[in-house]
Amino acid sequence: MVFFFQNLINALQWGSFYAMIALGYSMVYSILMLFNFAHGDIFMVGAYIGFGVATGLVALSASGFLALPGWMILVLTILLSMFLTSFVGMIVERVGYRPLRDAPRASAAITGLMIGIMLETGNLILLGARRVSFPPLIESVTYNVGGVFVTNKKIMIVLVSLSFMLALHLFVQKTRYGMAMRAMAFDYVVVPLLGIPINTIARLTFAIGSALAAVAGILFGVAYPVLDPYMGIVFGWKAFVAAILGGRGSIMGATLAGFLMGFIEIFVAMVFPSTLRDLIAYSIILLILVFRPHGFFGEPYSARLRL
Amino acid sequence: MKVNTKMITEDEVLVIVGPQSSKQAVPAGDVADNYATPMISPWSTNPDTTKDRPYVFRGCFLDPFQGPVVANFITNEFGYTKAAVLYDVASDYPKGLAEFFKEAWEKIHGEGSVVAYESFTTKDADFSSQLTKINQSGAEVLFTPQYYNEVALIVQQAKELGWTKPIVGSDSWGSAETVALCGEACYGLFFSTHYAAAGATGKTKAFIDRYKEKYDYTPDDVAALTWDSLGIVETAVKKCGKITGKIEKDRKCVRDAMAKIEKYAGITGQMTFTEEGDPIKCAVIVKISDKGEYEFYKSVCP
Amino acid sequence: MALLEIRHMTHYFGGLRAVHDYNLDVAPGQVRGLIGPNGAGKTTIFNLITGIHRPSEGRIELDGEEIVGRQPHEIAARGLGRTFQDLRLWRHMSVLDHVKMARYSKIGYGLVGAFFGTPRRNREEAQIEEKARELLEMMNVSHLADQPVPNLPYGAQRRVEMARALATEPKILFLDEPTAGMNPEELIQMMGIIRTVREKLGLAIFLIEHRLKMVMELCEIIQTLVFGEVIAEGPPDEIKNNPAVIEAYLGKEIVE
Repeated sequence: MVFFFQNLINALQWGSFYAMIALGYSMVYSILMLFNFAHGDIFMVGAYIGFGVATGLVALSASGFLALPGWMILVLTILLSMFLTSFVGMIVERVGYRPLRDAPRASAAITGLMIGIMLETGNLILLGARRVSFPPLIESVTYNVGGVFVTNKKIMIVLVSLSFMLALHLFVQKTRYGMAMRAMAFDYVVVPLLGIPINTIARLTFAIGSALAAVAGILFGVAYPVLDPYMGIVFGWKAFVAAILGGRGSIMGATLAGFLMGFIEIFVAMVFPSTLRDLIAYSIILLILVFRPHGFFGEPYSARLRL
Repeated sequence: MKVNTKMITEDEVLVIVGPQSSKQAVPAGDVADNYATPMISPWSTNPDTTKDRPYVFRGCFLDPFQGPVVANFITNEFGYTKAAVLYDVASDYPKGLAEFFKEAWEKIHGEGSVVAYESFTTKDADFSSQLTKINQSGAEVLFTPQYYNEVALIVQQAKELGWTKPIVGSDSWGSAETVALCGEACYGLFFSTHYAAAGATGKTKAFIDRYKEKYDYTPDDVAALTWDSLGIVETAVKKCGKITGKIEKDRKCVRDAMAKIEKYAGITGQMTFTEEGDPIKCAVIVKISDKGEYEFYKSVCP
Repeated sequence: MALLEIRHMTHYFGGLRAVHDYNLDVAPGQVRGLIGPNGAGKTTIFNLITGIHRPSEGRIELDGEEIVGRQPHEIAARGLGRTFQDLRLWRHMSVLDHVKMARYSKIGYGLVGAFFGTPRRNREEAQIEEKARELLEMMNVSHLADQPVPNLPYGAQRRVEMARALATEPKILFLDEPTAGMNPEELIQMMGIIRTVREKLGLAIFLIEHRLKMVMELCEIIQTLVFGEVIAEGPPDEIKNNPAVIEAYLGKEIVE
C-alpha cells in the first residue's frame, strides 16, 4: 500500500510535466491545425531562461542589493520567464509558421523540427555542451507520511502546475480571447468575419503555450536540476503523444492524458522490470488509441474547413 | 584512423600513445596492430581495444575489473549482503559495469543477493519508480555506474524518497562536474577509479604539484594515466637500448620490452601487463569529502 | 452616397476568370439580390468583398473607404456582416456563446482583464450578454440560449447564424442563401425575420438566393450573374421578364 501511494505521488509530479507540455501542443493544434514540433525545445528554452533569471536573481540577492527569500525568487523567476519565453513562442509563430500557414502541412511540420534543431544548437553555441545545474531556490524538505516520502518541492510542483492548468481552462472558457480560440478551433473562416483578427489569436496562443512551457521548464529544473540542450526532444515527443491521446485540440483531454501518461510510465515500472518500461507503457497507449482513435475528447469527424 | 595510418606509414613513428576514448581506441588499435606498431591507450576501458592485438596495450584497468573491485570493497567495508543496481540500459559502459558488478556480487553473496536490478534510458530524468522499488527491495547499498549528470539526479532523488544508505559509483563519477551538479547530496559517497588527486603521496603528489604549477588545475585521471603510459613507453625504449633505425625491428623490440615490463611503479599504481596487453593494477576507492573533494580512501587490488 | 460601391471588380483563380467587371451600388437600407446558376461566381463575389480573397482588379468602397487589401476582420469591423451558405456554426458552443463571440470585437478589455478578471471585464461581459439575449429574442431563439447548437432544428440554427452576424452591428448584411434547405414553414419565418431586421435595424441587405419567389418578394434590385458576368440588373418585374435571364438561368422553367 505504501508502495502504491509512493508511486502515486511520483506519478502526479511526473504527469504534471507531460500535461503542461501537452497543453501547448494541443492549443496550437486546435487553432492552427498544425503541431508545433518545436514545442519540446521551447520547453528547453524556457528551462534555460528560468535558469538565467534564477541565477541572476540569486546573484542579485547574494550581493545584498535586493535580499529576497528563495520562494520569492522562484515566483519572480516563473513570472519573468513566462513573459520572456512567450516572446520566443511569438517569434517562432511569426517567423516559422505565419508565412507557411497556407503551405502544405508537411512543410509546416518540418518547420517545427527545424526550429527545434536551431534552438538546440543555438543553445549549444551560447552555453556550450556542459550541463548546467538549476540553482536550488527552495530548501528541499522531505516529509515521511506513514512510509510515503513527499517533499515540499513535489507538493509545490503539482499544485503550481494544476493551478496554471485551471487558470488556462478559465481563460479559455470565460474570456473573449479564449472564446475566440475555441471558435477558431472549430471554424477558421468565420472568426475574422466577426471582426476578430486571427493573427492576434494565433500569436496569443503561441505565447500562452510557450509561457506554460516555461513554467514546466522551471518546475522541471526544480525537480531535476540538471539541464541540457537536448532535454526537450524525447520529453517533447512523449508530451506530443499525450496531446494526441487527449484528443487533438482538447485542453481537458491534454491535461488528463498528460497525467495518465505519467501514471502509466511510473506504474508500469512499478510492476514490470524497468527495462521494459517504455515498451510496455507505449504499447498500452497504442492500445488505447486503437479503441479510441480520436483520443479521449477528440472530434470523431473532421468537420473543419480551412481557407 | 586515417591519422593513425598516416602516422605509421608516412611519419614512421616508433610507438603511439593514445587515443583516449574507446570509441577511437578500438579502431585505432586495429590499424596499429596490422602495421605491427606498438600502441598504448591510456584511458580506453573497452576489452576490444587490446583483445587479440599483441601490439596494443593500455594504461588503465578494464570495465570487468571494476565490478569485483566495488563488490569486494562494499562487502569488506560495510559487511552488507544485499545490493541494488540502477543503470542506463541504453549506454554500453554503465550496462557492462552493472552486469560485471552483479556477477561479482552474486559470486560472493549467492544467487539473488542483488535484490533490485533496475534500469532506465539515456536522457531520463525521473527515476522515482525505480528508486521506490529499490527502497522497497530491502537493499543495503545502491551501485550506480553512471555519468555525472545522472549521478546528481539519482542521488538527489534517492534522498528525497527516503534513501539513507550508501550509494557507490564507478570511475565515471570522477568528473569534477559530479559534485558541481550534485552538491551536498553526494558528500560522503564512494566510487572506484584510477587515481585520486586529494590525499596523494610520494611520486603521485609530485606529479600533481608539477602539473598544477604548469596548467593551474588539478590533473584528472586521464592526465595521470597518460603520464604513466608515457613512462612505460620510455622504460621500454630504454630497455631496447639502441635504436637501430630499422623501423620494423625497433617497433618489435619496443613491443616485446613493453610486454615484459613487471611492476612498473606508476603514479596510478603498480602495473604488469597480461598477455592481452592489459595492466594488472590496483583500483582506488575515492570518498567524496565533506568539502566535495575526491579523497583517496583506500586501494583495492585484484 | 452608396454604402457599398464596387467598380470594375475582376478576379482570376489561377488562369480561370471567376468574376468579370463586376459593379455594384448599395444604398443604406436597400435590399439587393444576386441570382444565377450554380458556379456563376456568387459566393466568390461575397468572398471578394468580405476580404477572404483579394480581387485581381477593381475597387471596393465601404462607407466611403477603400477596403481592397484589408484583412477580413478589419472589413468586418467597418460594418460588414455575413452568413454562410453552409451554416458555419461552432458545434461545441452554446447559442448564447455564438452571439457573444460576435460582439467581442466591440469591447475593449485587454489581456490583463482576461487573466485577472477586472471590474471592467465583468461589466463588459455583462453588457454583451444582455445585448446577445436581445438579438436572440429578435430571432425567436432566446429560449434556446443555453443549448449547444447541434440540438437545434435547422431553421433555428439559421436564425442563430443571423443573430451572430447582426451582433457585429453591421451596416450592411450579406446573406448567402439564407433559406437553403428550409421547409416552407421555416422559409416563411425567415422571410419575416429578414423584413424585421430591415425595418427595425435599418440595415442594407445583399443576398444570394436560389428561391426566386423570395428574391422577387424581398429585393428592390436584382442582379443576374452568369459565368462571372452580370447579364441583367433591375427591379424584380424587369428581371422576371428578361429573356436573357430566362434563357441563361431559368431555362424552360416558368417563373410563378
